[in-house]
Amino acid sequence: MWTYEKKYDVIVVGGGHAGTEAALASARMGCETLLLTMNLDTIAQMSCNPAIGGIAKGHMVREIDALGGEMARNIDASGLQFRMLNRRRGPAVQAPRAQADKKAYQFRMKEVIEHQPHLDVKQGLLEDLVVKNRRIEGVVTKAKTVFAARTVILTTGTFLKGLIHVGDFSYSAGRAGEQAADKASDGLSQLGFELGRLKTGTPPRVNARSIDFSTCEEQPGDADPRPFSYHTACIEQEQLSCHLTTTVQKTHDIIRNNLDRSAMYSGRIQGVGPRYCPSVEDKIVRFPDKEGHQIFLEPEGYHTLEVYLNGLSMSLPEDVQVEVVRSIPGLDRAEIMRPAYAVEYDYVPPTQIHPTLETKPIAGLFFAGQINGTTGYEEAAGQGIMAGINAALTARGDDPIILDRSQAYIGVLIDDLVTKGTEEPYRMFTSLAEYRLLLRQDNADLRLCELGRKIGLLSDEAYNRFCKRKRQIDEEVERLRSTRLTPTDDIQTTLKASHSSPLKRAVTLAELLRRPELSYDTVTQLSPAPETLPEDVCESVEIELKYEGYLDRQEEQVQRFRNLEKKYIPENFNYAAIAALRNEAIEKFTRIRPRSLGQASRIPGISPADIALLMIMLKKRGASV
Amino acid sequence: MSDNDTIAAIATAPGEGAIGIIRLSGPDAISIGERLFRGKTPLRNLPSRQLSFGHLYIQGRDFDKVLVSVMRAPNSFTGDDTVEFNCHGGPFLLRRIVEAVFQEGGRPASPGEFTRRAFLNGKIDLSQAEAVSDMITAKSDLSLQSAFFQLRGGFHRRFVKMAESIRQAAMLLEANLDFSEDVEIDVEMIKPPLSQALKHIEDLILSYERGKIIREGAVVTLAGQPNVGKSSLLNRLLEEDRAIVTDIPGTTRDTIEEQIDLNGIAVTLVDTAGIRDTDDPVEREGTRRSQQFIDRAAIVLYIVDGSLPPHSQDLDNISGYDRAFLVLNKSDLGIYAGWQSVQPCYPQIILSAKTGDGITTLRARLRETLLGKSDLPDEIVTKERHVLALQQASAGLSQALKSLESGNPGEIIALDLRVALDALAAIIGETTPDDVLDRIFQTFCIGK
Repeated sequence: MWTYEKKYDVIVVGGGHAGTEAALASARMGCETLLLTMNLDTIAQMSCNPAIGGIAKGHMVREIDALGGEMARNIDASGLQFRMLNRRRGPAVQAPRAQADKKAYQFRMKEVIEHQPHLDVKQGLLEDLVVKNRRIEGVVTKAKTVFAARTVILTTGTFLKGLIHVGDFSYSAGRAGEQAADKASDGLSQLGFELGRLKTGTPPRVNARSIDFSTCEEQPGDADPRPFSYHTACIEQEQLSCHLTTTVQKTHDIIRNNLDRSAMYSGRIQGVGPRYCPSVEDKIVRFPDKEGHQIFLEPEGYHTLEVYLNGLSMSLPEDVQVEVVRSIPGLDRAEIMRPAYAVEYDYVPPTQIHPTLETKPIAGLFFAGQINGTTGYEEAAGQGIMAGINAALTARGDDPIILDRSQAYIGVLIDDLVTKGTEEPYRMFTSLAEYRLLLRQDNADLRLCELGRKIGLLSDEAYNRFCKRKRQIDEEVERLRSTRLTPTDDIQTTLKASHSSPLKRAVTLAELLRRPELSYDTVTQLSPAPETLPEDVCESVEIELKYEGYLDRQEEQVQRFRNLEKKYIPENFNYAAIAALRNEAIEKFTRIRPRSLGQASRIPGISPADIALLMIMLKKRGASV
Repeated sequence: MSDNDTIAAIATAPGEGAIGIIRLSGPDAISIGERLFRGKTPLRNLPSRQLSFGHLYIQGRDFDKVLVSVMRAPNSFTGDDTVEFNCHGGPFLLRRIVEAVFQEGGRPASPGEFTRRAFLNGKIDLSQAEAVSDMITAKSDLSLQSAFFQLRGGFHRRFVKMAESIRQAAMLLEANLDFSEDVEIDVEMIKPPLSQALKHIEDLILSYERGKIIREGAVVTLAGQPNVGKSSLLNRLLEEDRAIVTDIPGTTRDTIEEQIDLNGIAVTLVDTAGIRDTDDPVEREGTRRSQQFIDRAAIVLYIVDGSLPPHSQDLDNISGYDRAFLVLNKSDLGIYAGWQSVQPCYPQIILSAKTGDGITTLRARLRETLLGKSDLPDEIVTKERHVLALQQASAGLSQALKSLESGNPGEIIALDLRVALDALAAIIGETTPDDVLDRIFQTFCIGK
């Protein structure tokens, strides 16, 4: 054993999407940070689909950006196709999504990390944790080197006892061709963590030369690509198209005839997979009447011909995979470069961590990403930045920060994990957010930039840019509220052209904007802003005014929600002493140890009567409720 | 208010009765009871939930022969140790015994406090607690039936079913937002189930008025000129209802209130002083009070002497009511033909208070008007809390339907559906699992 000379404030184990955000956040806060990864060449690797964002996920990327994280800037620099999803739906469910040049994404992130002051990055495989008196003191690598630290963040991805399945062939690996971390898993068990098993899968990649794109439907990017980051002026790179094809009856027959050779269906896989990202075997078994399933052909980069077959995740043997792929129109001569596989891995059911992402059993030890049962790069990065922030604050002796459900999707994500746990890979959806109208992608900066600045993650430049945008929004909202239009012939003509009824009396621009048929552009034609405003400012102004009534209602709901969140429960509160409490409630409260009555009320199976009782008992015991 | 001491109260309704029950509940219930009770076996040794005979002693004097039952925690209604003395009825006797209990250390229970403890001790949930309090305050048979209905959970099931159809609509809406790349949904298809749920909720809100009448009873005011037979009609209605007949005190110059059981509805009959202009200050006061009763009456019986031609004052008065019956009294003397042309917007009833002719019809029509036509209240909202929640649910649903019409975005519609669902959940009194995603995954093939 050799102990490295430097004692770190924060060690981040794992260089994926959670680990990179965690390490950058901690180092940018001035903490001496080590990023320990088993392979420097796979930093920020996209193990599955070559894309960032999507509905609810894109929201989180914008939040990470507003807090001062890297993911948004990284995809802006390395994306090869950008789309704003749900453009024809409401403002709260629109979200950015981009296809990435996988290698460019990795290289840029590695470079950012290498340049980051206070951050060391080293290659090494985690073998064990150093723990004394239930407090973390460092980590040990496979080469028996000890790195000492005040706090440690584990972001182990699919590597804890990773087991890959291709049909009836299984082998130990965290990703295809990469060794798993088996010992670390046992170490966590010995420390008292309960472990669970999850499964995920990835589809085949084929060579673009072997695809007949003429039979597929082209899916181009947006003509006006919008960046993820508030700090990216515009997207300049050339955009590539994706293509769309579908499975046919023959595909389904092949799969059905070979189900006994699928690792999923032959019982080889124990772990629970994500329902929203099912294998193609699952789709065909569960929805036998569906004539075809969409397959998206997604390019993996500017300098590679690998194409990702999105929708064709499976655990069938390679010979069947070839048959399946070639049964699909456009892919009849396809050459598979990497076969599809399923991977099983250990996770730590997340009711064992605090909302700060610090573990309950071991002080100073934090978890982020798939180890907490989530799936998705964005979910991982969102936890990563919060774990980095809180590990740094803890190392400095400061109070940790918790985002609540009304502030950010990241808050919803973490609260769900620690309050409800998860038994399948957890993915974010907008329907999981109670205050969805407030958690929009356009206003992530308005929600979180001040916090990012306070923490010390937002540079002067970034903060000034935010302040300018905020000022422009506020001034324009105020202008629309206070500017009154008296009916003139010009105005009535413009209104008529927009199928809007004529003015009967003087109205404010804000009142006009509330008419469903009128847009910000039309209204400001009648009375232009004194300066030309950026598109994103106009968008935020339009939403703020058009949906004002609904936004106000959500704000009221948030006030009520915060009242219960502020009713703290003492950490050592003895639930078993409440005779009236049902055993089920005692057991759940004792296990989760909710911080507040609000969190307690969200535990599954807890009834309003349990909460009423808890509230009365807290009052009785003179707690500050 | 402490929840740890021993409370006591007379548990039976006030008034004369064959038996009165004194209930003690709390940690000292048995020891306090012990100090008053003498039987073959001391209270502390009696088996739970069994009636035993003994004597109550107050200040050393044998005061009453009683049956006593001991229910030990947690197997009692309140969940605390409970002692119940079944005493001989009579307000004075019961008062004396409960005071003795207070002297021995019991505290007078506040209204509803036994139920509160049962709730605190986890013996009943919120909606059951309300149903129990309804049962205690139930004024008549029909009200009891409605209270039982709620306890049995039929009420509960109806709300669960309604919430279910809204949740199904919310699911389709959400699938269209979160999975717009995977599924295609025609949002129009959620309109019919939402409209249907809205109709159901509006019916329930209407039933509240009816439910309130069942629970709290209704006021029926007898109005009319002097000497048309108001007092005799009142007497006649009371005579029909033999169980509650009492003497009528006072003078017809003042108002008289009496309760009758109108086939299950507790009806307070108010005989007002004759309405007429007068200089007599006493009579004027009587008239003023009459007007107040008429103002808060559910139904006014405007009584005239049907054997005489209409008085011009009558015709004025009759047109001033909207929920009333025109009662043509003294049918035994023959009805003056001119009354046929007096047709107010409410029923005209011909009867004789003297012979009782037509009284049955009057009772039936009164009940029908108070409750609406359907016979049994199989769906009645009785709690204000419930009707408030239903009003919220109704507002949410109507707004959602309006938004669907005007093409508002899905997340806005979802917000209004959430309001409706939360309001229903508040009535159901349990957290219903938020299973929108589960439903989506079961219904649609999601995911690339």
